[in-house]
Amino acid sequence: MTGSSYRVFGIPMELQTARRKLVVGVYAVLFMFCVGSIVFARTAPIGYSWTIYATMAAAMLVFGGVGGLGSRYGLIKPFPNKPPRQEPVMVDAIRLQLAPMTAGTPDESSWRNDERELSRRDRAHYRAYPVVAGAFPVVLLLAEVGLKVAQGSLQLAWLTTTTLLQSIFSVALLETVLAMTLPAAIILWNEPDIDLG
Amino acid sequence: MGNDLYNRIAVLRAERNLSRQDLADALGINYQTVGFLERGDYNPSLTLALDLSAYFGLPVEAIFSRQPLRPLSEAVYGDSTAEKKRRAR
Repeated sequence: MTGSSYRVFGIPMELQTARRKLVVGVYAVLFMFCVGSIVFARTAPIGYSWTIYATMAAAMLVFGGVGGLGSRYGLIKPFPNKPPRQEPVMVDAIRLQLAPMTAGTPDESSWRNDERELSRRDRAHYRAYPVVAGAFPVVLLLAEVGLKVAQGSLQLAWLTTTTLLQSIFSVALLETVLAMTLPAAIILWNEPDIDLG
Repeated sequence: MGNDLYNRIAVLRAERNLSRQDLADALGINYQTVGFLERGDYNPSLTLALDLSAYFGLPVEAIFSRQPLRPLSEAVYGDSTAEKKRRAR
């Protein structure tokens, strides 16, 4: 299930309860940011958007699974099941002891999913799909309301255009985060305690 | 018929003094998967079952069964001991 690292912010993740707390925590923070983006839309929309993107990237790094940076640092092995690109030896970085990991080809067990892990991966995607697909109509509905407000065919005194656009952005962002992280989160949630002995 | 599949992997591994990591390395799987197999939480593919069979040098039916497995010692010696007792009478 997991990659080589079992710790997040120094907290061991072998226990299922610890992983479940992490999943709840990450999604709670993301949800708060998305709701907050609607509230703060008028005051600092751009800065707030970047904060959300940064949190989203952090979530993907912690969960892993999606590939890229997440494949190296995340708790879940990369889903593509392909070896990561071989990195050039960073001579200067090593000399200054800045390199976080040994350069070269990583251990095969850190990226290859065996048949059980592949079946878990596939099942997690299957379970995540209805949730991800179910969020699309919400985005469509909000976009439709936004169009009507912009065209003037619908007037809502309590809803400004900025708030409406920010709502569409927030829901679309949540949708993106769910699409990219939910399968990994489901695996982290379901895998029993890891026996390192 | 349920999905229950019983196995003797833990016993066979212990008999050979192998760690989960040793067995996992030999089979090209994650050591956590060995634990899942031993506990019966995961049913292996036919390929993996045959790999296990080849590794332990035993027929597949000696390792896996749809019915609960008897202890290995009883399976090997139990019948002959009972037969000897019957003959002695």
